[in-house]
Amino acid sequence: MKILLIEDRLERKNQFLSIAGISSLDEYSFLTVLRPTELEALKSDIKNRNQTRLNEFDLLMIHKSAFSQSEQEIIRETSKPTVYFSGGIPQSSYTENPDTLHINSKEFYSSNLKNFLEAIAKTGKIELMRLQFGEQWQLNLLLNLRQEITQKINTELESGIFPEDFEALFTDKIMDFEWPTSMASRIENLKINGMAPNETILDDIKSVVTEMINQQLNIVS
Amino acid sequence: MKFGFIHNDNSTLSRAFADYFDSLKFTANATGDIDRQITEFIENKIALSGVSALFIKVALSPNYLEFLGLRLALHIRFSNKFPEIQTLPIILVSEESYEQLDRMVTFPGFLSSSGLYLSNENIDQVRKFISLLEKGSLKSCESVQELARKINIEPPASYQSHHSIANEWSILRWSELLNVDSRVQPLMTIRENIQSLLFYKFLEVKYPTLEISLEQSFVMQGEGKILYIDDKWNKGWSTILDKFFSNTPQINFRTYPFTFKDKNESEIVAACETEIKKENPDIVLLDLRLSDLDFSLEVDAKELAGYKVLKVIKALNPGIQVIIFSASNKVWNLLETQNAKADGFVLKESPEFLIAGYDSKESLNSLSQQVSGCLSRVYLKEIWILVVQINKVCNKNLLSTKYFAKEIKSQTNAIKYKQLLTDELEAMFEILNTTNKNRFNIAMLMLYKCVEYMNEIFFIQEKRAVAAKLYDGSIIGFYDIKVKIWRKKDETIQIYDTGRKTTVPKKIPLDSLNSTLNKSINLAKKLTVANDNNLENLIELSECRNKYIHSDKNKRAQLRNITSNDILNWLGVITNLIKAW
Repeated sequence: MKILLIEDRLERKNQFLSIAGISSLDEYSFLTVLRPTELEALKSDIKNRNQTRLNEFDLLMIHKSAFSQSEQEIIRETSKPTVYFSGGIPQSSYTENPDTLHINSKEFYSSNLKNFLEAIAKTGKIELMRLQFGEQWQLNLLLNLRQEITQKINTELESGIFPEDFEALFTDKIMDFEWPTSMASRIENLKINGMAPNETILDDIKSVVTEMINQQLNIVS
Repeated sequence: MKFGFIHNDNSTLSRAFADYFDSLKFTANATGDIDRQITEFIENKIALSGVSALFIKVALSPNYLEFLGLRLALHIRFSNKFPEIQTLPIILVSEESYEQLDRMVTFPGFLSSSGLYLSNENIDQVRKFISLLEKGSLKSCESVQELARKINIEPPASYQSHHSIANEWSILRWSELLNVDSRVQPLMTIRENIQSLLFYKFLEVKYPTLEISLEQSFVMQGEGKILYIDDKWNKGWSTILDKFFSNTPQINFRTYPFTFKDKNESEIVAACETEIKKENPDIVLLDLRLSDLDFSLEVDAKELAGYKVLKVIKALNPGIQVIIFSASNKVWNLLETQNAKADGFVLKESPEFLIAGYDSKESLNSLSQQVSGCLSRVYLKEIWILVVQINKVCNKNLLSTKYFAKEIKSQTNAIKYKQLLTDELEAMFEILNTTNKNRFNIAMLMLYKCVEYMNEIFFIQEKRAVAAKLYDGSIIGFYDIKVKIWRKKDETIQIYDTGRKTTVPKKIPLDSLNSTLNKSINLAKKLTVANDNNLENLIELSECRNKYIHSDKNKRAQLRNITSNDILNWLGVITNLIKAW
């Protein structure tokens, strides 16, 4: 796992890190902070569409103003997951293909960054939602899941759903949640047997997900 | 009757209600500029759709918690540009209950506003809403102004940064009021950026731009050179201020085109000092936050780079006028800059100040008035230069002359009066640097006192002397005539003109011969600086002083208005005398 951080405003980086209570980024061995003197060389590589340097990394975290729009387009061609941070971004937004997160500098240089990096150190997995939503990243997963289930219910009512569509919903990340035992085994059974759930099962799952969302929101049912 | 359904292929409702819905798909692209993308979507899709109500999925992106649908709904409500869709009934399509949404969104008041409804993503519920719409039972938004008052939209997190919306807000307002061509860069880009921001649209509704027309252009009295120092100079401020000062041709306005980005504080302060020395401005328009570190909330006013530049300027020459030009209205910043002798403080406009009723027109008037005030005090810079010159000469040369070394008493006298002289001049500067109505008269008296001190330094006081003797031993004759003088019993003197071989008929009181004026005039002659200009100025100073000091009402009435030019002229003569010694 290798991550590249490109920040052309080092003074501000240190200021934000200090505010966020992060004394140093040195402790994360997988994180490379590009030296200001290296930036021009990297820009030259990008201009020449030489992606060798960027391809060394699994995630790019870039101060948006370090690169022009056209340079950002070329970076996008690497298909690397990329985080762009800038003081000029009013609302964080995430898009797929490739995974790209735009986030305000203040939100980027926050305790979320520390938690994000520590999670990578622990699990070896990049979870951009941790960076974007902090402790609420799992709530976001559940909300996404509930939306998907609703679509499946409506699709099932219209034309039926395929087992593989259902299976795709319940990734390892989703199954890592503490599901009620009976519900977990129902889902596992359907997945193992390659079966499509009917509307009743989907409704049941949705109720459980809603309950889990309420727990996250401290809402008593 | 058609209804818009805004989604991101994350709902089956558009298929289920294909007969009713105009399907409007919103997909954010990877540029990250969400508000701009929403703005373009409203402009190019929704505004052209002709629909009579909108169903909007609360989530329109891969990460549900972004709640882009809610953001889009807010954009619609605050889009003054599209009144035809601004108040349409909006039905939010959500899996969440009001209670759940309430805990997750940052503008909960919006959910209970008029014209906004919540539907579960359920075919029966949506059908019910369509039915109500067809019957005309769903209300539109009653008042977007009321909505803006009811809810609060936080500024972007970038608020304190260089991208500060407050700064851009201010730039746009000022440029509108000053009729700056909006097509010039960077104003055009700023306009495009800011006008798409939800926060800006919200402010536009909450604080509608008043129909202010500044017919009068800002013309300031006086002349001088203004140097503008601001890390945001190239964000539009330079263009705006160029326009602002363009109606006063005797003002030479110049921006310091420094690249502040990622410079540390000491680099910034040093660069500004070099520029100030090079440009020698009369007035500096100075931003307080010049360094990245200055944008930390915890930073003390005295730690701001702009504050340090202010101290540097005042150390170089306290007569250089400094107007702090800042978006910060923090009282402690104001107090600290006042303590550091700032001459003015102008607030850049900011949305937060609107709440306090501080508008653009007021800001511009304040800037105009403060610049005018500073222009009337630019002579102080010249005064200080002369004071420094006199100080330097006094310290370096005056006491090292062989004459003073001769006798201890004379040397002691010279030290004493030199100190009095320099103290007097510094005190005079302080008084001039106030708004006291009588300051020029007081300065005139102080200058006269300085002339007296000079006489004390240069002349040996000999009782009952009729002609003064300088410390170098030379006798200075009065009235520039070769005379033979003798004292009469009645304490007057008789003068015999040896050139004309005749007695000057008038009896002259001893005091008038030995007067401050005569001594100084003769000193000027001795030092060969007795040109007409210097002599006239000495005589004028003496006359003004006499008219002011004497209680005779008639004399006092004859005193003309003393001006800063008079002070400069008189101080100039004193400087010439001191330098010539």
